[in-house]
Amino acid sequence: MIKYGLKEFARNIYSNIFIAVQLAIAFIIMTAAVSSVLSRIEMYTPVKKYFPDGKGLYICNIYDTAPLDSELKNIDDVESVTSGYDTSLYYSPSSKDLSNGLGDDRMSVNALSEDMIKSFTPQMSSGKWLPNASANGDLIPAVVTENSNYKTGDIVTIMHKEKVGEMSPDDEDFDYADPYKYEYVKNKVEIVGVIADGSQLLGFSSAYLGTEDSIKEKPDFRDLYANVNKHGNMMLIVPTDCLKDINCKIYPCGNQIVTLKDNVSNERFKELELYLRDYGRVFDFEDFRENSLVYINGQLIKLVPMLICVIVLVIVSSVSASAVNIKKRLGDYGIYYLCGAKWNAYIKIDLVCDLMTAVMAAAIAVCISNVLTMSEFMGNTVISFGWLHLIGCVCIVILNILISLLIPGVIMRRNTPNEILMINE
Amino acid sequence: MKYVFINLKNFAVKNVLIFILFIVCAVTDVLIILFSHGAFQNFKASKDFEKQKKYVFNYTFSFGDIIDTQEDSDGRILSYFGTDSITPVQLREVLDKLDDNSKASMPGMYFSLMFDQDELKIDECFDDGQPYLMSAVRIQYDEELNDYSLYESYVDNMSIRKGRYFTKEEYASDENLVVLPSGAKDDMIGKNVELLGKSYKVIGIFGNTVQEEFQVPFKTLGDNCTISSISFLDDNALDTESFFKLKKAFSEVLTCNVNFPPIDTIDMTEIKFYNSVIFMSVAVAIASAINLAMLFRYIIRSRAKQTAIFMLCGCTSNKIRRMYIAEIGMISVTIYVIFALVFNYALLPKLTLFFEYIKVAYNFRVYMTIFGIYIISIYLFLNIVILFTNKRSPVKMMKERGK
Repeated sequence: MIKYGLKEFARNIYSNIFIAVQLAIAFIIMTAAVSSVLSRIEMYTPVKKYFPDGKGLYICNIYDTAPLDSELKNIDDVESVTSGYDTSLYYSPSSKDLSNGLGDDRMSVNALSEDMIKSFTPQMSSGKWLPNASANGDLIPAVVTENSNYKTGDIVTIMHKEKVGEMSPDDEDFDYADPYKYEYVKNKVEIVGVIADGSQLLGFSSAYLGTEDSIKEKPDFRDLYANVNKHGNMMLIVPTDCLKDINCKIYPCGNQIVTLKDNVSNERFKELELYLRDYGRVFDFEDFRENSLVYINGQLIKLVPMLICVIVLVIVSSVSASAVNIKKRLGDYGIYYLCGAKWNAYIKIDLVCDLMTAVMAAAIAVCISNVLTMSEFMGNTVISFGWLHLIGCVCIVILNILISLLIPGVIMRRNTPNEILMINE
Repeated sequence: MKYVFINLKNFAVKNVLIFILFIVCAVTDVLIILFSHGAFQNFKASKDFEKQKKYVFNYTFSFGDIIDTQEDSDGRILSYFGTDSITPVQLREVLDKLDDNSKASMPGMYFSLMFDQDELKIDECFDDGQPYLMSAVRIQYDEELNDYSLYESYVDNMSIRKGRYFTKEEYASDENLVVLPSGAKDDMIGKNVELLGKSYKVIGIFGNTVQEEFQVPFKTLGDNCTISSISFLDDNALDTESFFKLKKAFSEVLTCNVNFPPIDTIDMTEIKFYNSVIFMSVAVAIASAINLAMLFRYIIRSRAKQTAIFMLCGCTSNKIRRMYIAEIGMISVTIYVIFALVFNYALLPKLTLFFEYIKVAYNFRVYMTIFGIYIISIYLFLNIVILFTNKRSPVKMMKERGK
């Protein structure tokens, strides 16, 4: 039967090519549809866990992070604070080895917790993201945003001040406000990856990348991300875990997620919410979740008519392709019956033929995708390919096969082989 | 024509399944093509809106340490006021660092000039004594000249009492020309005056609305005047890339701070999402077209026997071609007209709930354009299929069993 299936496929090659092209476009549309749906939720899924059902506050447009940080440390009801970090480590965007010391262009090194690093992987233009890198000896793994100076593999010197003792009031540089002696300590980081321009970066707000936060009336999960821009301020990010042996300070920066203990009463929660408004705009977890879900649902609803269109198109084109094909094949099946094959043999023949068409369609779809990728079109879309996309395409193939088996089955069961051969004359 | 209706009747009666399938496919494809046009335009509009960024009219940036801010009614910061200033020479240096594309995509700029009034002694130009003179510059990038020149909106609304205003070539050049305020003597036209250490030729005198301002081309200004703040004009929106390039150019030329008011960044994820959906709407339209084409091909080829009989009875290929085109064309046109009306009055109001810009994408002209493309595509495709089908001899066609 496989042999006859292949022969049927070859005999109707032109119409099968038509069907394969149609199926290939259906695969591409399905891939685009699944990618579009996933793109609406792929940024929410990694941060959902930071807004559990318990009590908590989201603080944004913070006036000054240092006083807020010390205030939060003094509040016993605070379980944890999640954000990106600023450090007292510095580097120079123009000098990798700091041979001339830190200049006026010094930038502070940023850090992310292990949890945030694992939660979301930004698009990398080269190298790898932090959790996939391991420390190379004494070198701390780091990533940078896309810029003109630092590339993957570069070794960059970072520097921080360490307190080594107290100054005496008789010393030349004695300062009453800061009466300590400091020593500059150098460390080295290895650039393991470069974050691509236009990528999203979890943990930092837009202010860090050269533009101020806009005052959004209803912040949602998108505000936990910043859009990397190669023309904006460069960032060098290290894992906080790698800074344990370095005696430097780290401070939360950007927007902060404050999780409170479970035993916090509603009154105390309200009190904290009002109190922390002195430091920035404060929203509770429920509002934040609601805003996020409203946004996502609003976006997904826009895709519904498109998805309905895709499904209708796949069904109609499968039905029309099957009906057209079966009209041609019925005569052949009539002859097969006369030569000894059972009616059910058509299922195997049809299945082989349809699978061959599906394989041809997949090959055409891959070719079209490669052409679009080479023309850099794909880079400007959210279209990607993964397991869910494959499942979607397989559903199209199954639907196509089911319809193409159903229609001839209905016709053949109602007619004798003689009638079928007569119809086909 | 008689045979067109006979064929249609036979098609509907003898080949019911295929006829119904054809109608269903044609209806689905018409609706999908109409919808995909609307979806395309809607998401394109959303993308353009996202990309266009801020209209930054009246946004003012300054230099040095910030001493004050100006906010709008929503609390959004419009401008920072600073302690420092720059010279027109420095500003020209900054602008020279930008590429032409950035200059073209940025809005124009407006700034007032601060002078030492002793450098502006031109009493002889005025009958009633020299007023307190001031000057401002309004520049906009001109793509024809590849340089900064006149701000067109200002020129359109400006009044000249005597003489003329600058041409855009003159304003983009370093020709020492000046337009004096309205109190200047009429006979100053064509004469030279000493201003800012240079000799300027008077070409015009402003109308009564401009009593203190004189204007000279931007490139003639030197270090003897300063600029304390610069505002953006409303001819263009400011996109993030240009904004960052401008910031970088300023930081390379100046040693003092440049205080830019905050602007939103473009969210590239949104742009990519819109691109994906636009691509889907185009692909869906193409798939519909292929579906219809496949059916047309089948219909033509399944009538091979009938075509052979017509040819044997003396019907020419051309008549057969016109007959089939008329038959399929009649069905297609009828379906398009009916379902375009259904789409416009029944589906479109529902779709506006999902797509905010979809309604403006449709008007009579759009429907007619889509109809034109639809009919021309059907006509061309049918001609090609019929041409290939009728190339064979009637005997060969008779032998085929509907293949």
